[in-house]
Amino acid sequence: MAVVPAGMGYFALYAGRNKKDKTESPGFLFGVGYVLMWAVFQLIAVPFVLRAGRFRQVELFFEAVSLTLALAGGFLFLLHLKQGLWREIVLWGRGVVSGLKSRTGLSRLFLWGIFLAGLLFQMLQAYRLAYADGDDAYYIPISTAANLGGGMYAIDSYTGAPTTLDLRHGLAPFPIWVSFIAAKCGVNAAVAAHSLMPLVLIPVTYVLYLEIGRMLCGNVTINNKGHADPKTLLPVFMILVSLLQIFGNYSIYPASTFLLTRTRQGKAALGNVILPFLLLLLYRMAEEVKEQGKAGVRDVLWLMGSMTAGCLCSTMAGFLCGLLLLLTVVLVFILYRKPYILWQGLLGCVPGIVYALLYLRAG
Amino acid sequence: MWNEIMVLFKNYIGNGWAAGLFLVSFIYLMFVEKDRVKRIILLYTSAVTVALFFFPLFVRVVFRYLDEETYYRVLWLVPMTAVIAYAGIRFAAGFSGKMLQAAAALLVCAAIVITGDYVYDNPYFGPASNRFHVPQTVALVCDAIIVEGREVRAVFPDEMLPYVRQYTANVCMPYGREMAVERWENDNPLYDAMREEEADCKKIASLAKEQGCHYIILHEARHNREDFEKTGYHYVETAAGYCIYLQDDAYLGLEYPDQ
Repeated sequence: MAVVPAGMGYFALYAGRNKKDKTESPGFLFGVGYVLMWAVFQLIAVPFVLRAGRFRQVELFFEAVSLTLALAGGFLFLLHLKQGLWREIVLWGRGVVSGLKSRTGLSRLFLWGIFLAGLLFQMLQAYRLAYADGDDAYYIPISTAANLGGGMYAIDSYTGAPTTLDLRHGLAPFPIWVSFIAAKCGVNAAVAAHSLMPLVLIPVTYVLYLEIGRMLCGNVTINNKGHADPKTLLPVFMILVSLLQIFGNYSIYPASTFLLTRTRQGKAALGNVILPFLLLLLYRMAEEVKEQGKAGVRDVLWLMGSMTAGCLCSTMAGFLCGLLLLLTVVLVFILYRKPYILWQGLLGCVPGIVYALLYLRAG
Repeated sequence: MWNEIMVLFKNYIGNGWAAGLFLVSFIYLMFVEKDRVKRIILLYTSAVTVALFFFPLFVRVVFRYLDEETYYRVLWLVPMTAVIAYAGIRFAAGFSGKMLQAAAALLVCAAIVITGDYVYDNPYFGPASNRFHVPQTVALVCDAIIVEGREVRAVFPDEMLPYVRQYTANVCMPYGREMAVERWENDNPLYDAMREEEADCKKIASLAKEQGCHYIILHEARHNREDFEKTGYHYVETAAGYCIYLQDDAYLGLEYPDQ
């Protein structure tokens, strides 16, 4: 859940790239890897779900594809290390260590410490506390049954009786991904969902907010004072994000409540992984439009990937991600008058449109 | 429809304090943020999303194709967390001197804590009894009736329904959590019988047999064990305060006669 997406992300970001191209941050790399991993799982799982295939088939295919991509990313990383990447990593490490020697560096370290303590607290609470949510009675038995019998969406979650495929849920097979993780970790699907998922997905959300924060804090201009120091602003931003999650239970509906109460459900992943990733991606694309007149080709691929990954999480993702995407690209077009971004945005929506049509056709 | 949208919105924002903090952050950024990209990503998309959320034509189209109950998720497109956190750091960075900046940052933290609601105070949270995060009673009862390699069918009391099939797919039930959701209007006489204050054991046994249940699970305080005599079910054991009754002629082997 960490190494494979990192490898996939590395391969996706650096395969076929020129050495002179700018280096991507590890956080963005990990985000892209996660989104691609889910997108690949969605593309493999849905045809098997629709054709009443077996879970073992999905497991086998996904394992083969994801491991191939992750290994390719690993080899590419080793190659880049050999070509001199290790020097950059050493220089970066030295920079971090020397930065700690100053008083400002120590105060930054203190701020990061507060944020990390908050993150650990949330992970510990997720493991230690059980949240009683009725929807788990639907989703987790799908994972448990797939692991046990091999069928997917073939039995009624509540009773265990044979049933026909419920397409609304079958098109968003997040529980089957949970099942896959359970199978690979050798634990019961309920253990994977309740005890393992939060330990991974909560940090993933914060990695994405870290990247959003890096972009937002990168060029904060304060009136009459020039630029504020992004290295100090970023840990404060992350502490505020963390507090907003911990104190975000003002109702049962916000994504922040879903993050810390129902982390194992696909809709929580939509609200706290896919939508923040999309926000980050759209931000990057808008910056690229500002600087170059159009967004990069790979960004459109990541858009399509995040839309597909969103559809794994929830059938509503096609609509929600599509809406956010179209709203943003239209606003970018209005402000910068660069029509190319409209076509790129529309292309990014294609997977969502395909899944929406499948859903409506069945409905 | 307007009333429905207002109810969804009010339910979403809760007491409104956190939404108020977002509004203050939004207005603050509208004045101080000059970067056009940040304005698009954080402010304009938020404003258009909220406007669309209330726009009748949009609502009508969405309601036609999607579940009305989940319409509130349109508000997930408003990046509340990023807007408030970014406004917070801009506000703090706007002060001169490290002490004042730290005090401003603490003020923002306090505003978040005061306007928000501590998630771990949620009454649905409780200490996890095991790594499955299901009540230990459910785990113990299920462990007592599971037969490895085959499914068994059992009827459980109301409080156990959501957890049984999370714990194991080897236990099937005549009804599950769907009965507990009133608006789904499901009906099962066995469910009604199991929920009665004083359990009518004969009625439960007769209905359970009719619905093919190998086991009946009942809390020991809610019935008399003797009442199950001559009902076609016999007492097996008590696990975690729940009595387990097995159908007299139940076959729980792994080989089926017709195979």
